[in-house]
Amino acid sequence: MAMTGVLRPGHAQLRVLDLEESRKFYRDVIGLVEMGSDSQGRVYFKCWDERDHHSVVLRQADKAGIDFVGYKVLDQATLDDLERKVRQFGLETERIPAGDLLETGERVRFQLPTGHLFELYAEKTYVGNGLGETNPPPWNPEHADRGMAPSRWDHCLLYGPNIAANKKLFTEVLGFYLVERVVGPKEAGEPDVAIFMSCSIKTHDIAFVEYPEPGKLHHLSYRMQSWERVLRAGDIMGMNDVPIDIGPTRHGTTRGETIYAWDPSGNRFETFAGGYEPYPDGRTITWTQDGFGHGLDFPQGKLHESFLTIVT
Amino acid sequence: MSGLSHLITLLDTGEQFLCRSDEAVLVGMARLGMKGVPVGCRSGGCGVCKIQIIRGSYRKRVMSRDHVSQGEEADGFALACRVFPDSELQIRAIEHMETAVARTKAWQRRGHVSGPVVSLGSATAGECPTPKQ
Repeated sequence: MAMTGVLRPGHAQLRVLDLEESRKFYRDVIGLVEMGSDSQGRVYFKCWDERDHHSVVLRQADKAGIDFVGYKVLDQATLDDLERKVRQFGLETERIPAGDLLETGERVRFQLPTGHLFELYAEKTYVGNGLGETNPPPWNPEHADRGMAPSRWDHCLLYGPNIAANKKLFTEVLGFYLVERVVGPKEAGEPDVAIFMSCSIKTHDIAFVEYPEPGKLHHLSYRMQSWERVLRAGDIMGMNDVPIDIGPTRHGTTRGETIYAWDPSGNRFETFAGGYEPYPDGRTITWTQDGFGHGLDFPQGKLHESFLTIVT
Repeated sequence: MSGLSHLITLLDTGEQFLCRSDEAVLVGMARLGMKGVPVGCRSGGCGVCKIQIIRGSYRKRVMSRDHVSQGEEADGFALACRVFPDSELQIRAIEHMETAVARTKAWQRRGHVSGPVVSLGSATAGECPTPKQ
């Protein structure tokens, strides 16, 4: 079998300042499918084409940002094996019991060198996309045009210190490979300042940027089916006065066609399409200090300050 | 339906701008055309638009405690994107905002900026076009 180990980003728990306002935003503006809430008051969403119960969880808090992200692995044996390897790498792990997150099995949680809480899990209830598994239509008329209606939660970009240690963990232990990177100035020896890593044939399943404060969220990214759907998402942002950071534009890095904007708590999100299909036998693409303007915004070649510096 | 307009004074420079009661102070401030007014998430989460309201009455929406503690809030610190004026206000710039204000004062002394500038082609409202290096 081809795909084993870590499969994909599974769930992200986001801190929001006003739960009711955020529920409506994620449901009606971004257009996620509301799946329920739990005894702690957390609200659960999935994107319309995802098959598992949820991917985005909102928790009311007094500050914005990301509580944790979880990635799905192939099976229980893989979960046990990866936990052992993560501990050998030198990180402490804890097991969070099944059911703590709705419809989700046991999770192995550990803290990354960048300060983020990261989890692996093997089980989450399969709910489907509403189209069934026999002769299905290509999209779900109930969900696929409501709000921006992304297909999937695709990846996250997280900011924190010591991304070199993260790179080592993800590539040597968790089975990811480095697809693209941005490096710092020649005078500093061109260290990695941004790394894009994949456990699939997506350009990235996770990415990190070197930043002095730990545990920060740059964005959660939602996959759209085409550039036209990204532009439509931009129209919906305009209709709803959603504050936009950059876009519509295209990144040189990963070739993503994109718009970035902020949710009602200041958590940045991305709606994007495109990219390309790297494979583990490929070679890492490097963006230099001089070239990164085009890496960030290929048409303008501009280093947008708000994009580079604002996090929650 | 627009609200009443109130005069806001930025004590750091003495500049004044009008701000409707139904718009955030940050929006009014961006109209000053200050170089690089820190306009970030505009949703109370990222903290770059911090000010202190020295005088006046206002409403505020919830702000991330990462950037404005309860104590600070009681002392009139707030994020400008979440403050709505109910009267004339006197405010001063804090942290990122303070840096932007200082930068603009320096530019004005050198004669580079005169009066409000409408920004074109920039994703952030109120950011003055940057001259090419």
